[in-house]
Amino acid sequence: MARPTPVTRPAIHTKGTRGFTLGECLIASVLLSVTVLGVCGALTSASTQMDSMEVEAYCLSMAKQLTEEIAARSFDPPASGDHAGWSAGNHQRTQYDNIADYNGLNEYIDPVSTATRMTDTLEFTRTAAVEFRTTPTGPVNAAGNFAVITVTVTPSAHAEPFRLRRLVARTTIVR
Amino acid sequence: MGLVMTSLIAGAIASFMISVARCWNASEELQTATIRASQFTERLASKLRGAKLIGYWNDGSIGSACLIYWRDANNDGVMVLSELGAIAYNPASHTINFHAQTVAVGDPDPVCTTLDFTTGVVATTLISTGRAKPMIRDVSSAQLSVSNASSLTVAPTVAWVVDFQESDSSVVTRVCTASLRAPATP
Repeated sequence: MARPTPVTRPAIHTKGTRGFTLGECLIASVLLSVTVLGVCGALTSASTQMDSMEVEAYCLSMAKQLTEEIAARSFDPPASGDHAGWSAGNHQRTQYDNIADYNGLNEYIDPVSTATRMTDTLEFTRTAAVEFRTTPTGPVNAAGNFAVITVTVTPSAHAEPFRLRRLVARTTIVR
Repeated sequence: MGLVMTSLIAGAIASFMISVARCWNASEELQTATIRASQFTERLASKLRGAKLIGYWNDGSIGSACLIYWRDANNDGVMVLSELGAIAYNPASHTINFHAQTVAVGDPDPVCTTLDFTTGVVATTLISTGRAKPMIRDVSSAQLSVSNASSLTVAPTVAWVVDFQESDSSVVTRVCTASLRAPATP
């Protein structure tokens, strides 16, 4: 019986086509993870900063609104028919007739039921303090001719309390 | 295999770039809304600081929000048409406009009665025929409240609550407040 003729095959050229070792795969995975984590960190930071900016802008809007409302009131109580202020238990702001009535104000702004933005889901606390002073930067004096209105809006999350101050002087607003 | 890997990497880069672009867009829209509201507050204050009285006003729950005020320019205590101004929201153009009627030199300046001033007759005339100047644009809705509107002891405070529609359909709300400072009586 004749021996079968051996089949000759061309030699396989293995140079440069070998697979990755386990070590190389691990190193590549670690590098990729570090890169992805870095990118995610940057995105999270940007998102947090944007949320914070949005909340601060909203707080500024709320603070300016109350500051303007207080500054529109008379410096001194009316000669007659003076209504009590917040500290005396009167929480009807429409009845306030002088800036001191707002001292101690502390109100809550509830989240919006039909929330479309992040700020709608937060609760805000708005407080007001009115300090009378002899000079704009002087010590507190109840009979002073100046008053510093301080409105603080504190969000329940995403930002620090926002404080807005306004100096008013003893002037008579004639209506 | 190479094509698959390239596609995966390109997809990852594309989604990353889309996220960054959305973040920039949202941030820019928010800043724009805040700046617009601040500008409007200043413009509102400049109109109302010297005003004596607030007349007719509509909070915007029915119809468009608007108000009319009287600024006694010559301090004679007589309410004439050229001394009146109206600030009204126009839902068609999404703007809050300032309306005023200019009277040419020599032409009669009609005197307005308190009734006209408070019942909206003059406000309608001013808004329909007066020169309109936008005070703020791209407002999706606006509401108005006036506290102590007719008080003779406390200065009235006007608060506009303006909404800006963002590209993601969310709404940014800002409150723009100003108060009257001029005496109500001459």
